[in-house]
Amino acid sequence: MAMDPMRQLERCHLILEPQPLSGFENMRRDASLLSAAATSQWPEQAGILRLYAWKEPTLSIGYFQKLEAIVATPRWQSLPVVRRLSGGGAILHDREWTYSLTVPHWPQLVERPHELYARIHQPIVGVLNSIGIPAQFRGVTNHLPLEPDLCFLRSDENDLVIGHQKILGSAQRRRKGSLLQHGSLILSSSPVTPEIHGISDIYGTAINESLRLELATKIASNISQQVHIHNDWPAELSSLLNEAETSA
Amino acid sequence: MDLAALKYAKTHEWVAIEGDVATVGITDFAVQLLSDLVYIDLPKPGKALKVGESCGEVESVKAVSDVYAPLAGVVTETNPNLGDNTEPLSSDPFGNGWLIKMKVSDLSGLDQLLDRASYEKHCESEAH
Repeated sequence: MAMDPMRQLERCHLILEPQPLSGFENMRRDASLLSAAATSQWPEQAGILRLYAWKEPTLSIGYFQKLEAIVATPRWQSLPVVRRLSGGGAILHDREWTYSLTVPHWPQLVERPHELYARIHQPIVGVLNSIGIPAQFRGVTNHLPLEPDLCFLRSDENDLVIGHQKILGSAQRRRKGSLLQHGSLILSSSPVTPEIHGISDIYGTAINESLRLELATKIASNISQQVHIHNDWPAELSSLLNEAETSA
Repeated sequence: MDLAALKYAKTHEWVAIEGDVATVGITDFAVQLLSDLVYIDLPKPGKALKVGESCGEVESVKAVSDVYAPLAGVVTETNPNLGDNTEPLSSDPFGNGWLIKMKVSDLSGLDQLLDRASYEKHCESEAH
């Protein structure tokens, strides 16, 4: 997949959220960042990559998914449910890693916004391949007339798969030239969704904290000239989390 | 539709004006950027809109994008052919794929919009 190596942000702030957060707070922070990205307080020529965990198993649903249908499904009834700003299908956030990337102006990065999926997924393939996990792009899109509710049962060319099992999917929200991209990497199967397998189930490889950091750093350096790693929100960026979400 | 007679917003909406009624849609450039549209959500008639306020949301495969009101006014009609069926927007964004009609409250807002030549230049700058 051809990508212009010249298209890079000046810097990427990689925020490793120090604590698992509630679904509400994770979504609130991403919404705030997307709103802030359209304002002058956003650091110039910078992207913010959040890597975060969820303090309890939580279902996030795509922006246009019907909540009524989801909550009527017995296996979701005991779980908190949040709506993402991004599109796509529902994701059970349990035994997985979530990232969000917010950029103020996507033409700095890619010619067309959907190319950002490949730009983020490519370094993940590289890292997983380097430790012997044969992850690859699915390469073909098979949309079904009635898409399954769950993201990990849907099929898109930019998905990362091991064999036929999807292990990483991403979705976007675009607003006034800014862009928020969410993605989820399945580490291992959850008791709630035993039909979906993660890296550990398929390949028996334990995924540890240093690999998580390597993945995040490789993603950040694939989109920016400089990577600033933060183990918590630095004072100069934390105000971006308080930008009220606007409809405009 | 004579594209040169339309006005355009930098956020890729087009406007056709007739008296004080504006027909609003999104451009072919925006439709190409979105690719594979799957769902459109439009405001209800009667909704008052400010310039730049979100007046709809379009979902393409795994991306949701907002549509913005290029003028201030009140929504009078939405395109009944759109909703779960996005084909008219994909195939004919300047015709059958129009999104809303609105009664414009301040026609001077037209002066802030781009003509076709300026809009094409704007698209070139976004694409490269």
